[in-house]
Amino acid sequence: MRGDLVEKARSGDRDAFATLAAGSIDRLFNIAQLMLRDRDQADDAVQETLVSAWRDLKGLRDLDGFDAWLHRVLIRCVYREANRERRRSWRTVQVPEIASYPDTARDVEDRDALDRGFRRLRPEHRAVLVLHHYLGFSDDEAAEALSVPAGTIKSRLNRATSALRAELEADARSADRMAVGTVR
Amino acid sequence: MTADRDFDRQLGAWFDERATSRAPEGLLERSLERVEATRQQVGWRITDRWRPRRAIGRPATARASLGRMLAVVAVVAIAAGAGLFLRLSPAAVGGPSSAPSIAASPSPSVVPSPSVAPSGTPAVVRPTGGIFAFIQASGYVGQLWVANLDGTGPRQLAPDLAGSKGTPSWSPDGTRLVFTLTPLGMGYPNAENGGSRLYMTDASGSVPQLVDTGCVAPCSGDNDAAFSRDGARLVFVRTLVHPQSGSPDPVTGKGPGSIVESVLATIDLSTGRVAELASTTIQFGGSRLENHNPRWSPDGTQIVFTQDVPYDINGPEVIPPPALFVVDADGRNLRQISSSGSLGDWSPDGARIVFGSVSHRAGPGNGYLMSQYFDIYTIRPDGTEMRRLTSDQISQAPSWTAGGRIGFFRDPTLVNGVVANTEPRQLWIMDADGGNATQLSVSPQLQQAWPIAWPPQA
Repeated sequence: MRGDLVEKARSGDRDAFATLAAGSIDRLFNIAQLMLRDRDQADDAVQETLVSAWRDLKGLRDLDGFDAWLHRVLIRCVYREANRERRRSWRTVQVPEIASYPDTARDVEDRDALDRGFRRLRPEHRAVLVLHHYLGFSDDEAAEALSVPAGTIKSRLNRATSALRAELEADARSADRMAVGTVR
Repeated sequence: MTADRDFDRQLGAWFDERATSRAPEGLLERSLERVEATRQQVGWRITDRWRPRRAIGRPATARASLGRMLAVVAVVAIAAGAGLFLRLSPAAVGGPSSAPSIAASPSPSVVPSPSVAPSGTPAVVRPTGGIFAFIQASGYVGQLWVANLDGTGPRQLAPDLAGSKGTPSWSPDGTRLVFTLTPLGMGYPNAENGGSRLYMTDASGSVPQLVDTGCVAPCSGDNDAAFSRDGARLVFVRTLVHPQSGSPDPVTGKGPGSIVESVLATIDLSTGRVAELASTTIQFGGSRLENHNPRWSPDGTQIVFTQDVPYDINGPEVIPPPALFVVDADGRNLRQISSSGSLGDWSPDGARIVFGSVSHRAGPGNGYLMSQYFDIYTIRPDGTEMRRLTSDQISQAPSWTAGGRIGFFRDPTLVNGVVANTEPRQLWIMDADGGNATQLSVSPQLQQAWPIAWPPQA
């Protein structure tokens, strides 16, 4: 049934494509939002994804591979949005959020720290973490979605995880310094 | 945060916690509106530079208009051979001509150009003289703009004319501008919803006038017009819809199907005589095959144009790119001059045709996506002496200027045949043999515009 829809959409049937889009849009938005950490940017990326997917659908050779292909298109669009964001933000001064570091329950601290650390990762590191930890992709699936060799996924995942840990540790050190300063 | 925690578990839980939201209201509708205004690409890639629309825009209408979309018939065939004749519209006069034939592709040998791709970081020059006309996207609506060659003095033309504008083209004397107006919400053209129409205005933005091409059923729409060098005629692409009774559409399963055709047509602007060049007819089929970008030869006796190439949608790994054809102005002597080519344009003396050629290859890794490589060639109108002018694989959309040079775009977003970044496109100009390639300094507005009509005085 889904293969039929994909085939019709590939043949130019916009109604079929609309059905496919409706069934995918929540998932696409969640992935984009996780990777970009910004609802407006995620909104833009999903729009671009669906337009690009429609425009390039004739290039899809394997009907059963539609979802994997759509993920690839999404990630390409997410990268573009992330790059736009980087260009926009180069003039802005990044103000550390240390002053607002919450002195509440540990899990809240952890979540906030994760949030801050994740935002500071490079887009390709965010992408591989989302694919692995949120979507549960295997290495092969993630490699396909990211258009990289399968052997690259493990190393990229390791680097992304290390980068996130480093960010969290730096965040913790900043918090410690802040706490010391407060005591003095 | 300590390293001894179950980091993976915590990260997974964090993602789950943050990924429970639904897509914002209206996102699907906004996306589908843009999908509706976007053509599926077979060969020539027209980059969708339209910026996304935020939720605060006009109310979504995509679902309503999507319901009007045409059911496409899965017939993939090119009209050729006996039975083809010059066909006249209701407003036309004259009789049918004899059947033309499609010449075999000449498979010409490539003559190396004395100079190839622009390289290094040459000086960027500031162009002078003439006015560009171009289309700028606003949401999913194409706006018609003009600006000086260096991008200064931009102004929008016909802002009050409702609809999406496209494919502008100057008259040779630069006094008139023909463009396409497509009603908003139109998807595939069909007999019920009507389609694009041709309008004429000038650089001052005078009230646009509808070009009466006599487009009544089965004509569904006209687009992609260009002036002859004497300014007396237009050539354009016409869409015809022939509703079929009885059986439902074999692809969509809906209603009675329709046969949709694309054909070149000409109009004499002084008499209103319209002629459809039946030899150029191609049926949309299941993969939407159309004619594109017709251009008159300087002496007005021939037309170069691009035609999509039929293919088995379940067959080839790589979809064939469109091909370049030349046909006499009366519809006779149709011949394919290049197996891959688009956006052909005549040299001022008519001796050569410049065109963009795209080669498709299986995409990186798994073949889901095609890689596309663009370069610019010239060729004689009889299909011989093909010369390659660029070899950077990102040069596109050539246009021969009145001064005998070739303007074109380079698209740095393409890396190894796929879009890899967001670098703006660059406008370049080079000699007819590919030499002296120079980047033009133009405004960001022009870098993002598509398509662009070069000023005839350039």
